Amino acid sequence: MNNEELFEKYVSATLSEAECESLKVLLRDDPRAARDFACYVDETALMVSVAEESQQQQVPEGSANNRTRRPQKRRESALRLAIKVFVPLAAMLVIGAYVLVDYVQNQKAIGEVAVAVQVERNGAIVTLEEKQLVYFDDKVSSSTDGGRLKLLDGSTVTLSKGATCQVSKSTHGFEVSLKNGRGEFEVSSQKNGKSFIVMTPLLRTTVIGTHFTVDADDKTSRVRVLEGLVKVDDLKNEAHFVEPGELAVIEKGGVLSKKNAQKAMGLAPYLCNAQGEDCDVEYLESKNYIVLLYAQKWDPSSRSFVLQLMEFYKKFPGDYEVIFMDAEGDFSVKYKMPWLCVKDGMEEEVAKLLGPNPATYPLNLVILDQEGKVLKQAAKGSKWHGTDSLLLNLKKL
Amino acid sequence: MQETKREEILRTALNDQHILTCYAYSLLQDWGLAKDAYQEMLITASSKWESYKAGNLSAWLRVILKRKAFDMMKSRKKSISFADEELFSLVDKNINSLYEEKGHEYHERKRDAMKSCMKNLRQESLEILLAFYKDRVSCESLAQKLGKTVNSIWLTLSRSRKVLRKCALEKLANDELS
Repeated sequence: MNNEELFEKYVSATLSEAECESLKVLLRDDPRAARDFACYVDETALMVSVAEESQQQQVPEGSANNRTRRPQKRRESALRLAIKVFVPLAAMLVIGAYVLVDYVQNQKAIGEVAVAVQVERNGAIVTLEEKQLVYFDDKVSSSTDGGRLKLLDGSTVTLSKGATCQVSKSTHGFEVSLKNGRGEFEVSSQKNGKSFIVMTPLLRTTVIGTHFTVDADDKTSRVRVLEGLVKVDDLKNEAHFVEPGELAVIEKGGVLSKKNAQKAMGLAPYLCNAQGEDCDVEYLESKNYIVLLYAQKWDPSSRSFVLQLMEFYKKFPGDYEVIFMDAEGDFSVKYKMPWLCVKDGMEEEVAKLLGPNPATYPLNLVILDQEGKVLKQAAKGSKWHGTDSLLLNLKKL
Repeated sequence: MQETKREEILRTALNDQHILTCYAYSLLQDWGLAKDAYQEMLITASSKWESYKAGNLSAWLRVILKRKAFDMMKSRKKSISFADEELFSLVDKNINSLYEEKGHEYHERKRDAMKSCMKNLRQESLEILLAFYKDRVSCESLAQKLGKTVNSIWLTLSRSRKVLRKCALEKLANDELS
């Protein structure tokens, strides 16, 4: 056996024990052969890499026809051809049209429903219940309470209310096209070089084994990672790796950027609206500044400042959100505060995250960045700096 | 500053994706596993970026990738070459010296040359190459599928390889001259 045959056996993983020993001797003792071997193996790797790319380019990714192409058949023997034609025909006669249709539909299946969804199929809207199959050409929308799909690889896609998506399956893995709304993805470990991709009109997220959410509409797309790591790109040149606690955002016509969502989102479980009800707090992650309001209803200056702040908040909305830090009593309800409030009994947890009121005054206003760093405060200890300059700062945000 | 260092590591890993996957393939002889190893390496590089001090970043990434490939080899001893740790180290040593000597740029140029040469191959030859080297379909199965003899599949494989090698080397030589 010459050297090249030995190299070929290595790359095709068919070395016998004796051949393995011969190869080791060659690599140890013959530098020239060792170099030839390295070139041969590298060349094979390059060939596979390039051939795979060429094949991907020939068949568009995500298309229904993107399966391993059948090699040409024109040289098949007549007998083989006859058998191939005869067997499906016989099967059709025996099993019947119903089973065949069912089979074809199973081939189209990308997974099943875990929580009821609505799908647009063949021009009609149908509601699919738990365990019913979803096909790759179905346009899936969440029902009134959201919906969930379990894909064939075990990954789950949870759609929030009003979200729509389409899932396609190819030899390269799953691709979810999220048209609008929010999707939460728990992706199973992708094996054998397969990938899991989520497309929005503005960005592409390539999953490296993870749990993350994607929000999309015509103007903005956001990706937030809960576990693992994803790669996000803007379908052009800009790409970022996003980790837990980070957020990738792109606005139409803008540049893909990454920011830290950890501090703001760490507060999410402890916040509610002025009436003490649970509400959407995830928009906090896209705000660069958080304004903490400490105020007491019994304090006249607190009451008058809250009214002033409410007017300001309405007139100058910006890249900030106010959080009222005192949950006791009915101050937020009576004044119908339009911002977020700390839930009753959660003050200690919030203080652990952000620290207690830094002032001895009943009224204080603190501006934080997304990292939780204090940028400005109306009072610190027993020193009062006033709220006017803070409002001026907020106006600029 | 530290963020820049981490970004730099991930960007290099992303830019070197081809060469790193090829390196993993050289060790694992399985394209799917090579891609998995690359992804595992990305996650490790992303979380352990602080342990990279200075020096050859590509080599540092290859060290992580080698460890990942080694773990995969240990967990999937499906062939003789998979089970042999000494062979694994020898292959790693030789591939590394080739990469160190030729560099990333040469690898990319060779890849471009190969890509351009691949266009001259017949569709059937391309499919046989992919099925054999990437999907690990045996020559016997390919012969049966295509209605050919095993020998003719071997011939197609070796002829395609020769054509590709010759064409790529010529292109590289021409590029260097120009």
